[in-house]
Amino acid sequence: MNLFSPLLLRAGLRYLMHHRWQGLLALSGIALGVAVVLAVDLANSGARAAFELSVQQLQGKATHRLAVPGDLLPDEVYINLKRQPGAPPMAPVVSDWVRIKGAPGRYQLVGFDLFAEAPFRGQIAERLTAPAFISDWLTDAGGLLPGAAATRALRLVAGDRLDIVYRDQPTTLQVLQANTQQDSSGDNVLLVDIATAKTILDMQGQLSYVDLILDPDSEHWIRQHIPPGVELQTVAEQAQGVTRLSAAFELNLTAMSLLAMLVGMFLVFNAMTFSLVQRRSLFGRLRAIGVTPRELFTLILLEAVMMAMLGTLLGMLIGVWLGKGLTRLVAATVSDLYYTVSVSALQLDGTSLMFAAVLGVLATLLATLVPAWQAARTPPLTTLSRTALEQAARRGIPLWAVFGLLLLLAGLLLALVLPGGVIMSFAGLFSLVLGAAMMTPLMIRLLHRLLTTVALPGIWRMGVRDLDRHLSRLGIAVAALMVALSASVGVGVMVESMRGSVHTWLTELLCADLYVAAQGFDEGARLPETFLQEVSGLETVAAISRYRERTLPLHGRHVELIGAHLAAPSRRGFALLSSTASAWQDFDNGAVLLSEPLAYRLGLVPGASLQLPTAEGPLNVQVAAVFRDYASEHGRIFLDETVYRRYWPDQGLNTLALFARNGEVASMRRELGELAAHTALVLTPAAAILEESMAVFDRTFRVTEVLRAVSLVVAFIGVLSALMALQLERGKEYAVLRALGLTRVQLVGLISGESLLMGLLAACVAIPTGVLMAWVLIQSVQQRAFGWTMPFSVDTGLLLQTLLVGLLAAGLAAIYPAWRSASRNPAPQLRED
Amino acid sequence: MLAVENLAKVYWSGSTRQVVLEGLTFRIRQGETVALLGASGSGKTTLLNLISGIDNPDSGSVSLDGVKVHALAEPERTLLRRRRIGFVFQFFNLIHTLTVGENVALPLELLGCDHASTQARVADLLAAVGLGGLEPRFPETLSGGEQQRAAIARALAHRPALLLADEPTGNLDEDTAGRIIELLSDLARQEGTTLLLVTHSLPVARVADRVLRLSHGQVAPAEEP
Repeated sequence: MNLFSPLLLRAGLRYLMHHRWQGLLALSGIALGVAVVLAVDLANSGARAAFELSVQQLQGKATHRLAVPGDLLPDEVYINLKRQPGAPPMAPVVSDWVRIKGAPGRYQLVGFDLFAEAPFRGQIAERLTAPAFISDWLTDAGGLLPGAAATRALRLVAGDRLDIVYRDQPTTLQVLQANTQQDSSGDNVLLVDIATAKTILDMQGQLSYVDLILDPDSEHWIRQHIPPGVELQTVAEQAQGVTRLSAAFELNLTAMSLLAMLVGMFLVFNAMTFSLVQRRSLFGRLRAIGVTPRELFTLILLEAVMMAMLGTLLGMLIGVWLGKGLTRLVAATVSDLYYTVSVSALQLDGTSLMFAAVLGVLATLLATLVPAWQAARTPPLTTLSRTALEQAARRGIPLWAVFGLLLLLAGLLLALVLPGGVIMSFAGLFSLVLGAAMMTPLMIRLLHRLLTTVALPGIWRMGVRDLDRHLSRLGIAVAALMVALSASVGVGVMVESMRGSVHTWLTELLCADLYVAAQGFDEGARLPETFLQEVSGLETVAAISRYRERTLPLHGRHVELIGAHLAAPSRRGFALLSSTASAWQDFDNGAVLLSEPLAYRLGLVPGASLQLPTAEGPLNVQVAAVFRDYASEHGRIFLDETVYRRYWPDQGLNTLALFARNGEVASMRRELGELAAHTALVLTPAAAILEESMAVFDRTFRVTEVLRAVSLVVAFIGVLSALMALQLERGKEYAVLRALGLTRVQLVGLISGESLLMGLLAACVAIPTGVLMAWVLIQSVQQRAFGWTMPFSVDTGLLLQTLLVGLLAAGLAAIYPAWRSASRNPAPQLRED
Repeated sequence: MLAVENLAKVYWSGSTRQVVLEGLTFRIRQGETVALLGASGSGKTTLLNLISGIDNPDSGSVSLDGVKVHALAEPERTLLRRRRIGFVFQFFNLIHTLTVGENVALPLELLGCDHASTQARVADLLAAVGLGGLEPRFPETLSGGEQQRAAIARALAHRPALLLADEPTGNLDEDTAGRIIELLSDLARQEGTTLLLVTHSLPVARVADRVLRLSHGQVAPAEEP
């Protein structure tokens, strides 16, 4: 016996060719789902690859790195090690971020010691030691070698002069050679000699770190020779520490893309169910002439595989195109929130492509399994009538609903009750959505019963009844639209809740009248200590809070440590979620305030102790309180300024928060303006910081908005697909209605009314489901991914918007099928048997 | 060849019991053409479905060449139909997405016949039913009579031992019906196939060697063939 009959396959494919719309809509479901998943994956991997490339180019063959956690490394450490007999290869590096005058973004200025470079970064050393180049590099103090991305972005050619700005101090460098390599998109660096870098970055006598090439013996040697406070890290650990920062952000995007894929799967399920149900009499005939259920099942799956391959291929093409735009958005967000990346072109990652291809085919097969199994069980000669089929489908509705309820409860259990990471939360979320989708047909029936009690005009009554009569098919389309709408509500409520929380948090935290920083503060420029004395002497200043910040490696993450003197009003701005009985007193005595994400990640509560790495060895501190914080998912620690300066004595002030006496902000500002005449200052009112922070927030969620929109497009196609298929099936019924005197306008009204009803019902189920999703997203996903919690708030405007979007999607989807049905000549359809 | 013993089938509609067949017994010899006459709703189609194993009886048995049809599992019954039984339906039931030639070839392909012999058999049969040269046409482009001819060719393609015809002329005009029934019985005889013809029309039943009448769930020889 053949595995499958080519003739039967041909019959199936011809059916799809005859019903092109149906085939195309199913294809678009697969294609869009695959496209979104691939685009997000490409964007994530593109940003990650760009970062890793730049790290890789800079780290070269180095295996380890010597550094002082959160500080610079004194030159002597390197010199002393280098002088010892048996020292392994070492290369000192000086590096920091600078701006280019008149150009957006930041660039990494890196200073290398040419003579130590050869074993580490051979390629760079080769370029630097080229005979025509080496003398310029060594003799010209302002010689610069830009990386390929910087060369492209700044359109540099040899001989160009470049004005770079570090901590508001300008320096002019000359491009010695332009790097025109096309394949390196991540190297957003400016290479200079180490002496030049030290001058520009004001690091005389200091290094950022020292690169090493170590084998186990030399690693042992180094560990024995490094002074206390200096740490030996592997380069892999170092890079991981940075890339891990954005893992939760990437996961969130991936989950959103998988949600679009889920909606796509509903579409495939819908399209396949339609196409199989419509062919039930064909299957009945085949069964009568001896085709076995297994052969039918294989045939249908084969059809699905062919469609999946075509749809996946199409999806991959769209995904690559969509990925280009999304990569820019993701790179911008990653640069805003995590680390600076420059992505000039889309990188076609093989793993992403393979993942998308496998996912497309598997998801289609999964969506086809149930309808294929049902079709394979078609009795010979189709003894079941259409009504009997609907009755059978209706009988299954309570069972589906029970399964759905169990899935929904399991989802809530996974996400909210059982312990686990963010993947568990997402698994719970998907289970919840799937459960709600399975309960949708029952909800439709209940809502339908409610609608039948309303006295509707004849044609509308018919529409309401039709929806119930065709529940087996329309139910799936409504469920698909429901999933998309609920995802939209869920994510929308989460974003709005978060936006509200961030706004409240910032408004309370930024309670000072004016914030003062040195110009170039974002490159680490500090306020001089003398400035503090001058400000303190101002009549108009009632209180001052002082902040000194640094990044501290803690448990594999880069945590912000802030040494602060907090004036009373600033202390009131902290929303303490939990605290010791005398938290502020403890803080004054050296205990720390821990941001919520850090406390969550480290499992710390007030009263617990924490070790901070310092140059003098670990510092044990007690946790005084945990405060609400959305500034960084990696965590922030506030430590009293006095204790802080004991361990990091030479660091200047980053920011001052000033409170005006008697609300005389304008006078205070005027006085500060006079001081600014001899000190380069940036004076920012709290409102401006709030505005800028909210702008960053909105930029962060722009990607999410795009994905929400795509999910809705997929759902719109679902409704269109359902209506088109129904129109095909009910052609004769419409013809009879036309023959009985129904006008074209009435027919359009009937079809549109049914569609709007579908939109309404989908929105009615989507709203509670979406609110539940938002609850899980806020209470579980956000906390497990980023460590923060937030008050849950539902904006009724958003819910109303969902209702309108549901109606709009359904209404738009009805236009073409309604027009097509109404413009058809009913005579041929009336003649068909 | 075909033995039906005490066959009974009851349908339930809610709490209403409807006896369709009750203790039905008859036999048909190899190569015989038998017409089964009966009014609408007398259970003719049910009987054919039971004989072919499509439906299950409440009691009794059907034997085809000594094989008890309902003792077989469902997949085996399907294979029995594929190998031993041919069907001609009132509404032709051709597959609209296959050409006439492909429709006729389908039972042979399902049996794994090679392409050359399949094509030869298709050409012979279509010529025999008067549709020679119409292989590439799709069913919807044919008249009702032509579609039924194609259906007869398909039913005979795999040389079934038993051909079941369910009102094969019910959807055709009188002239065409006469020609189709002659063709059906002639071909069945030529191929040596046993033909069980279900009809409500006495003129159609005249082509049979023997006529049975189905009434009130029982079968009896008709008085006038």
